[in-house]
Amino acid sequence: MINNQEIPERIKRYISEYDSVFVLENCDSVCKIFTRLISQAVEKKILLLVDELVWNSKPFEDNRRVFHNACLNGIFSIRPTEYGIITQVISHEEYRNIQMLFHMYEFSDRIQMLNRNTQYGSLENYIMNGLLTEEEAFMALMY
Amino acid sequence: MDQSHYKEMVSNFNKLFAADSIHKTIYLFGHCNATEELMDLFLERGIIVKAILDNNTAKHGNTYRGIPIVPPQNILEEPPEHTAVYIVARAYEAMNEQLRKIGYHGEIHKLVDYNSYAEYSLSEDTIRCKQERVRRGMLTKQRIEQKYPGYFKVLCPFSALGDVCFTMSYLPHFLKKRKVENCIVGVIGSACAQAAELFCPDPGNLSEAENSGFIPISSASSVLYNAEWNHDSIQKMTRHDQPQLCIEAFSQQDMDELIQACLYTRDNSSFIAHQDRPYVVNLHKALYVKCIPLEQIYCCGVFGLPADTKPVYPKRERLQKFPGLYQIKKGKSVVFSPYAKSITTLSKSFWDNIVWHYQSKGYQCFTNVAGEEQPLEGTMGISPKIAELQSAVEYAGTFIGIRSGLCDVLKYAECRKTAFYPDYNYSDTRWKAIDMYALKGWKNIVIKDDWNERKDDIIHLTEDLDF
Repeated sequence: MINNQEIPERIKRYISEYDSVFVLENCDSVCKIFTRLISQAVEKKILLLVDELVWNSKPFEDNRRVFHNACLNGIFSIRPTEYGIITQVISHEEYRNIQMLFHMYEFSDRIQMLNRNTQYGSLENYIMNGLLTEEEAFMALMY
Repeated sequence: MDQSHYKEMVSNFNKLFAADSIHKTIYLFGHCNATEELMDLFLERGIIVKAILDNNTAKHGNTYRGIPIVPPQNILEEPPEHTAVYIVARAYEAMNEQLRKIGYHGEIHKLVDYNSYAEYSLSEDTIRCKQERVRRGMLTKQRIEQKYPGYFKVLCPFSALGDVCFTMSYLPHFLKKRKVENCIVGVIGSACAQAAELFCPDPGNLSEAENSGFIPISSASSVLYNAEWNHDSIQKMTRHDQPQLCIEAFSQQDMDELIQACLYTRDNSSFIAHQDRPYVVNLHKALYVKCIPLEQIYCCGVFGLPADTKPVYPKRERLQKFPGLYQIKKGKSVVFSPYAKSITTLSKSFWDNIVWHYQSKGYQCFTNVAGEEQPLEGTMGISPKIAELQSAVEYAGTFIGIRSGLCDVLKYAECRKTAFYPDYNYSDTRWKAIDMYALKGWKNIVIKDDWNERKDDIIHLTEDLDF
């Protein structure tokens, strides 16, 4: 059980150590695009946080092959790819806390939730109607 | 900058001035219309500003009133204890963080609180304060849902006529796609509410209403001030057997809190219709990769509609006749609109020359003014309501304005129409304003920063206008 006061401290560490932090919310088309393109070279230091429930879900099985071997010790850390992206599997509780804070206010411009949200428009819409390719949308997301 | 933010800026500036706090080398951060207005305040008090810091490399080397626009790193050339940075641009939190990250340890002052969503802190106090803000938003959400039970909520988070016009132009297609019946559109302020209402079917034209799939709301004159909620609402008709579209006007604060509550509760009966507000929306990032005009951003990015979707036009029957038409010489008058909230202004001498050009050809000249705005020299001020504007410009025959949301309201007016674009980049992108929102069927003219009063420049410009 993680003490809830730890979560803000963890988030502070994430956003101070990385240029961008992405939180994978579910295994949908956004997730598939992101994990397919994750091997593309990026100049920033990126952290991808994955909810353990998503990580362990059947639909995510294919995506797991993209990453290196996992280490089972409470928190799963995966060796970074050679492209500067580190993936970290987090507990569902930590994910829920980050999600709650993210939707409470803007505490940083470095953190984004990766999901298909029906409450507002997204870069994925541009892919669907042909204005951007997946690679262009990914590049835009990395800005 | 709208009036309330301007007053906030002036008040905070005066407090600093009175406390004799402005005695260091001054920098401003973020070149925009608001920063220019702040610069004007400093210069009026005889205080020199060293430079305007800006991340947009395309602006470096430009000046405003002789003050250079430079990269943020330039501030490190001086000892921090001798400098102070003043920010009135919207992205205060990100700018503050950037300055600290590059190693600046001097004073940073925020003079306007634009962005109630953002506070770059994870302290217990901040979280508590933001939880309280969400609670206030939930109360607003509850009231709206009690007033409009079962309605889908479309929220326009920014008080901009142009954004509201784009939203309303594509909303019917979006609602059809989502299979939404009853919808309430939330906007900020009565001007945006009036602009939204232009797109609603006429209450007197039942077949039009039935064809559009909505029952109409009552006429433009029935905007009611709701004292309990401190905002306006437009009375809705109460036929329950047809889909309904209602417009509700909020204050900026109420809208911000309502949107936050909808995000916090993941309310899937709500939709935020904007391209970059609030912080969760990432559509604007596409502009770092490709130029996508603003209307297409709304159609395709915000609403997820196919690129060939046709916009809905404002309803002719919603337009009203301006009572002041008797003052206007039909077909031989010009209505000028020189003011815009969020972009850099054009000089007085520029407008003087344009006005003179038309007066010399025998045109009667008017300036559309609102609030404390003054008419251009040599023109008469008129203040038609939003719904009356089109009748005024069509009667006059010519409309000339700085590119603003008002141009979107008048997009389809049947008269000669010219929009001037000050030579600025859209937001922090490399695209020019004219790339982003040029108007079809209008004369779109970019006015470069180095436009001056040489006779040739004026002649070329006025030749462009005479079409």
